[in-house]
Amino acid sequence: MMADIQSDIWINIDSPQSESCHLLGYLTNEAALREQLNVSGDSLNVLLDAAFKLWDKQVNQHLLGDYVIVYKTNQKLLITSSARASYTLYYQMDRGLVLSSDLTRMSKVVSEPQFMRNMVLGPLADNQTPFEGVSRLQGGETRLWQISGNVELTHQALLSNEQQSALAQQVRLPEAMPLIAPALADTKLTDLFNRLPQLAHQLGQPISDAGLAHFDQLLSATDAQMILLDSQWLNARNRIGEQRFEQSHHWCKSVFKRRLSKSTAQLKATQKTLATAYKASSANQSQSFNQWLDFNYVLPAWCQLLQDIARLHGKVLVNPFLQPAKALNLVMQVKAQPPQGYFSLEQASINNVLDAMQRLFYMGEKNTNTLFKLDPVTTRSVLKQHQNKPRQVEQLCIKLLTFDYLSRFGPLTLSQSHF
Amino acid sequence: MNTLMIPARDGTELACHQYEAQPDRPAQTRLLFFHGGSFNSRRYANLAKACAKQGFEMVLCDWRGHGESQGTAGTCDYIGQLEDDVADIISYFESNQPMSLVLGGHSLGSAICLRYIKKYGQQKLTGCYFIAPGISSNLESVRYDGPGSKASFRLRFWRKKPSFNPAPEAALKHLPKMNNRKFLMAIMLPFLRHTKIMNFPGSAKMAKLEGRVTDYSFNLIASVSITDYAQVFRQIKLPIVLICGEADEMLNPLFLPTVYQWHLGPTLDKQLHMLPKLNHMSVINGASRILPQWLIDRWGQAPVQEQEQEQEQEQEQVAQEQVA
Repeated sequence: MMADIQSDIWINIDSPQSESCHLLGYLTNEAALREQLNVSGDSLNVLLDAAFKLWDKQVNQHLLGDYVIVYKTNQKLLITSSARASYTLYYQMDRGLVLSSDLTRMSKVVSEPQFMRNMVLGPLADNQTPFEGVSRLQGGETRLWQISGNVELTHQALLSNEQQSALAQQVRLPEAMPLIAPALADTKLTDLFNRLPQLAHQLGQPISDAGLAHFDQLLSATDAQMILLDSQWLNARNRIGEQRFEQSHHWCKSVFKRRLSKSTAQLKATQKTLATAYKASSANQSQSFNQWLDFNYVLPAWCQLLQDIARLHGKVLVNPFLQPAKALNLVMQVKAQPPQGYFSLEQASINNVLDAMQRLFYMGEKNTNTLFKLDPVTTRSVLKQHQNKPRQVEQLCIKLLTFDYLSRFGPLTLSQSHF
Repeated sequence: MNTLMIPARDGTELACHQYEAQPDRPAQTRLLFFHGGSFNSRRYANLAKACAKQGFEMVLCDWRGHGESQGTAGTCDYIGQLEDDVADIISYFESNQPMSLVLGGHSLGSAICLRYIKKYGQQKLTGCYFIAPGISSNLESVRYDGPGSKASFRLRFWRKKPSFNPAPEAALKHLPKMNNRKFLMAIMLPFLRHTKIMNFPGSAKMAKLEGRVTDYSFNLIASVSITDYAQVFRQIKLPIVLICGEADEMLNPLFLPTVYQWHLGPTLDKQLHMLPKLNHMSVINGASRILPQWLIDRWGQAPVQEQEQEQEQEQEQVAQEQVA
């Protein structure tokens, strides 16, 4: 059995592979585990092997840290992730079982992108991805497939929110260098603007905020391997789950064509399920529904996105907000966050996301103009709100621009049938 | 240098100046080059020599009505005639001297090549190169705002242009002047489309000496303008290099980096060179250094001198081994 700590995982069950164990991320109770399992030496593979033999499907309740593990023997394949993990793994069954930490690479084995679902659901998408048939391993989730003979899913379990909070609280974070953004005036906006398409392509999904490109820009400039996530990178997280779709998007509703508005039914259904779960949870005494959503869905999804960007640079993002106390503190302060955006209407037209969004009417792909109403009159009325909602308007522009880019050069070219 | 007179589909003879590679080493790749507006091929001889020296054949083509080509100076018969000329030149070489072909040009010559790609596709090409491409018919691509830019912005985006950045005196000396009134008249009245509506700067005496054409008609301007540049760049599937000076008087220095990132595919074999201190014309000197290397990296062989040196070294090694 071979164990690897790596920055990338790709396993196709159809290809002949020996028994293996892959760890993406890090463990924080390794010494205690060695003692508990009576494993000597430094070998991680021996430790993980012993842990899987003892705890099997419950292994993520004993290994503390921020990780995703793939454990494969000749008979079975088990994937598991830590409580509130910021690492994630994508899997699909339609064309043989394939696992990957890279969504863009995974998208090459499927044919049906569903960017619209991802755009509407945002962080509430749970295990869904922008590609039909490709699922995401959630934090605290375990899946087990029988792979000898016919490949068959034999077990799946997700730790409850309470269980995950209790486990994450015990994680002792490794040392890492904080990544603080410089003042906005010192940020190279042209570089930021031009990073957006490449980043969207690498992540395999539209970008939702310029802050992600800023994070990417700073990561590429730092030599440190272990980066400590600062709360400023979480300010821009998409708050689509905080309010009902109509309320949060009424200011830009004119941009969405009827075909897109229809897909909000999916969002309503998801919200209904979540509201029931909220009522049943013990958190409803101390947190509002929006805070509960932010804590359990929005914040972890955003941290996963940042971890994905760090992975693209071969770096490890140490996430202090997997610890419930810190995450709760952040969630409660959500209203104090500044709404400042990166781009302004006064900026040069060529690298200004606001002007570039208006140009989509003339230069955008056919699909973009099929789904969104981008005539100058409509987009002007949206841009008028930039003064009051600078970050929201900017987020919409960036999403439209990167959606247009992906529909052109993305993992797959979209056709009308994909909507 | 050898000048060929290639007949276009209407019988007009187009002058193509062929700079062949070393006589003992026939080139495998041919570059077609289209000069910038107002000029002719003479101005680009150094670029052609630099490429020929590295083992590539370069053909400098004079637009119709320019240089040694036939045709009426400063106009063309219909909008789109220049890309048809490119197609005719390509067909000529395809039939008479077949060789893999790399297409490109400087300034408005690049715009003609982009229009050719849009109309005829890229099947006959193996690569393309654009030096300070003259994409000046869009508001976002130009460095300085012209007199009509506020109105154009309002028409295009339905809001007030937030800033106005006029060209300084130094830049105005190099920028062509458009007669907007005549331009609008020519749009409405087709019989005015051969009258001159744009004037390039410079003294008439010097222009005559250099063989430049200083007045352009509506038809000619429309034949070298490309408003849907984004769509054309997006459809390019060939190896491509973009070269521009950071001090270019015409192009916004942020324009080509944006084209590179947003409009050229993420997996395309592409290069962008923004050369400091060079302007719209002096960038040709910079291109003489960059373009040959870009060609060698893709289709080239070591230059003759280097190859001879390598052969000599090999012979010496063999001799030493024999002695040993």
